[in-house]
Amino acid sequence: MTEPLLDVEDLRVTFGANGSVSEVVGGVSFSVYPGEVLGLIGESGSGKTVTGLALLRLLPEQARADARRLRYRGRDLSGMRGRDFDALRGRELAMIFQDPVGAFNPVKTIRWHLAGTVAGAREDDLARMLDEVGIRDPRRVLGCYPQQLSGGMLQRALIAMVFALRPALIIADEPTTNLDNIVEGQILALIRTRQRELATSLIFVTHDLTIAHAICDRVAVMYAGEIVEIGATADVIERPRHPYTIGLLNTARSLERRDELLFEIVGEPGTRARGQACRFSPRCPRATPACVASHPDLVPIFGGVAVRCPLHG
Amino acid sequence: MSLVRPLFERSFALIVLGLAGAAAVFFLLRAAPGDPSLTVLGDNATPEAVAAFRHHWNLDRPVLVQFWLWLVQTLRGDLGTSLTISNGTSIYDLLAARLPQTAFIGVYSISIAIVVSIFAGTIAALQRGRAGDTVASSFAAVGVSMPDFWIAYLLIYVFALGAGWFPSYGYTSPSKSFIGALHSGFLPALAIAAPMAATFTRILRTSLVENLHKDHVRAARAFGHGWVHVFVHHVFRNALIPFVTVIGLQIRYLLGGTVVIERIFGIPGVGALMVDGAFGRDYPIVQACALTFLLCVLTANLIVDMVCTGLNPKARG
Amino acid sequence: MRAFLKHRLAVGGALITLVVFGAVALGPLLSPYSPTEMDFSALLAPPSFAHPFGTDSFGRDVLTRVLEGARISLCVSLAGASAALALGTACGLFAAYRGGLADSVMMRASDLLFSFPSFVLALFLMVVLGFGVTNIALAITLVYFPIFARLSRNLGAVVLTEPWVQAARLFGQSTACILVREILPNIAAPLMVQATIGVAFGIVIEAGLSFLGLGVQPPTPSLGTIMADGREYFGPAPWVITLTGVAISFALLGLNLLGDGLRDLSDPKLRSRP
Repeated sequence: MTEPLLDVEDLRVTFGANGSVSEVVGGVSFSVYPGEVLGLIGESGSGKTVTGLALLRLLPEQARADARRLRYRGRDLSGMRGRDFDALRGRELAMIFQDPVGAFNPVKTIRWHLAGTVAGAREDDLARMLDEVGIRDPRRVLGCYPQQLSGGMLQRALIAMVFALRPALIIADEPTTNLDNIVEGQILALIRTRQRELATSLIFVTHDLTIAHAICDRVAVMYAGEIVEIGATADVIERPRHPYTIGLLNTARSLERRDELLFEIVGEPGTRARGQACRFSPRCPRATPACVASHPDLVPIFGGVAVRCPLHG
Repeated sequence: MSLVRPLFERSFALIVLGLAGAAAVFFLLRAAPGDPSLTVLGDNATPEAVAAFRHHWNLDRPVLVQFWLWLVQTLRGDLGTSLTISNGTSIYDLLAARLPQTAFIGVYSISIAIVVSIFAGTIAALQRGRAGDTVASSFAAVGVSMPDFWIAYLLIYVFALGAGWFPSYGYTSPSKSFIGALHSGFLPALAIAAPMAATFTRILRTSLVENLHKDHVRAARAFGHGWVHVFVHHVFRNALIPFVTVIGLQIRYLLGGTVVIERIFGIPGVGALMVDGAFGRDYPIVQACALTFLLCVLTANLIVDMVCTGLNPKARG
Repeated sequence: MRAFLKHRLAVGGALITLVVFGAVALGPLLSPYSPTEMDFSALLAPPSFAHPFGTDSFGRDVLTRVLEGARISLCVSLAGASAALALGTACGLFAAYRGGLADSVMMRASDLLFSFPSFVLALFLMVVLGFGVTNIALAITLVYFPIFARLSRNLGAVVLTEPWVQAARLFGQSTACILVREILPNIAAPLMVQATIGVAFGIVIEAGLSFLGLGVQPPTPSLGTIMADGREYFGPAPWVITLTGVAISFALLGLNLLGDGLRDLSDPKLRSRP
């Protein structure tokens, strides 16, 4: 068994100050192995984006993150000094953002942004970077400002920048959510191709199970700040166990094939039970008194799959 | 070059505004109650003397003709001679001698304000919510509330009369001694600079804080850039546009401030000249000074405009 | 209203302003001296219990003179700022409503006025109009007119595009009616903020003009003339200028804080939409 590239145990993130503190991520644990793509799936409010930001220390001021164990290549990340972590970021750890427009400085050209990631690059190298991600007329684009380009083009440029760093681990935070469907497919293919070429590990955050199915080797389904099911994509998607996973799958399938819904998730996203209970229980169609009695743990079932549900172990 | 066209447009606007301003100044003065001939010659002047005076100064011609004559004369560089001062010295010469002094104090003053506010604003923004911010912001709030001539007297009391580090009156021209000018000009420049620095600090602080939370700052950090790089290129650089805009807006205040400050410190500048002219009802002088100030403001606005356009790619083609 | 009371700066500013107004209104009644009463036995006396601000070279109690002078300064400034507010808003809204040529002309004229440094313009106007209290108020009005004109025109232009204004027009409401009932309330807040600041700077302009001798004429006390008096013997008796300046700054601080507070409160980003 190879060593995990990233080992996270019991990651917690809280927001807020002066008394009103809310826990957005509560005890998330997972590992990422070299060259694999791990999906973090969930609806809005599940804490998936915050998890990604926490790993890269990009949380806003009012957030606090800590973990029992946070190791990258065996090195402890939580105790690392700021300067050392900065050195890791941008060299071995990188992020692709959901909103490509916001990631660029509006008063600087694309050329300036690209040149900032690759030291000593000449105009030809920069043009080639853009060409590799499918941007036509790269020399013209280099001289453009971000507001002159479409979201799709900017996301390609962002991907070019990220992969040019040759990082060991990339966190992609819903990189296609803001793009229209045709472009979405192209960007996903691009990410997958580059990832395979460079054997980079990828944590792919998304709410869309169909995308996860296409790209990820393993998936972790999140609800209310916890992982409720984790395992190889094939296992989780062919034979989902947690009621939430089943519900997600059904929604995805019904949109694709117009099947009858086997069951539907009711209630508002983000609804969670308080205190000692399964957080999904208020919305779960299969909830039992045992579900409300105590907070279930994430329990391995077989062959790498673990589920957080009293009905399964 | 995409900056040429805006430059053209704005220069044209400057000329138009300048001419309109000249017209406004001219006609307003002519509309003033009182007859300058009586003021200058005295109430006991003979009718012949008055008539001669009026003829000499074209005051007996129709107003529009007067304006045209005056305009042509002015554009040729001949601003006329003073009614009262120094046996008819050419106003042009007077202004030429005085404008550099006002300009020196002005530039000195705004430089102090900019430097101080960059320091204070940056500290306040980075220390947001903590001691450094409270101190800097309080100074800024108070600084705006103090009239500049009062600040001048405070400074004189503490630093000139008290410590004796700077002169409380008098002024060395920079052409004679640059160091001397910096020394004698420090208190006056500081007096004008203080309220400006306060305003700049507040704007810069707000702007910096706003930019600190922008997404592209986070993205830059994600790409491994250090705080210094991020601050300079992503935070400060983006805050420059509102900062420079405010600097432009304050130029009006700066030039107005020179009027009183020059009087207090005895600096022979355009402001002091205008006050003297006002006392003596010397219309040509007041007119010329008002116009000079107008042109300074318009030119400064043009420069600030061009700088902002240069800084902001969204404003160009 | 409750939001206002919670905002510390605004409340602080309002309190200071109230104190200033109160002192100015009541001062002459409470003070045992008259502003012109000279006491030759106490010339240039430093601040003491009997004379909290000391006395000037004529033996006049400085505090009483300051209060009297402040009353005049405030009146002039309020008059000037209010007139500028009224005239400027009227013209600005008119320009916004009419649009086209009237709008351009008015805005160009206002820009031209605005291109002169405020104090220079005020000084110039004093030469044109002559010195004296009413003329100072007029000068302040003309100096601040462009700010209100442009502000109300810009704000008005935005509000005019709102659907409920279009609806009012369709229903046949008269222009004046629309302007007063639909548009004014929506733009009142920023205008009031600007007015507060306008009063503050009006005081500074009046003080500056009087200080130079081009504003209020002696023996009428004004904050500026008191400072001009104190100028001659600043070395031996600095308290005249210093304490008068403190009084001015105090009033300005109150007005500025109040203005800032009002601005923060009326900021649409902070206001929650019902």
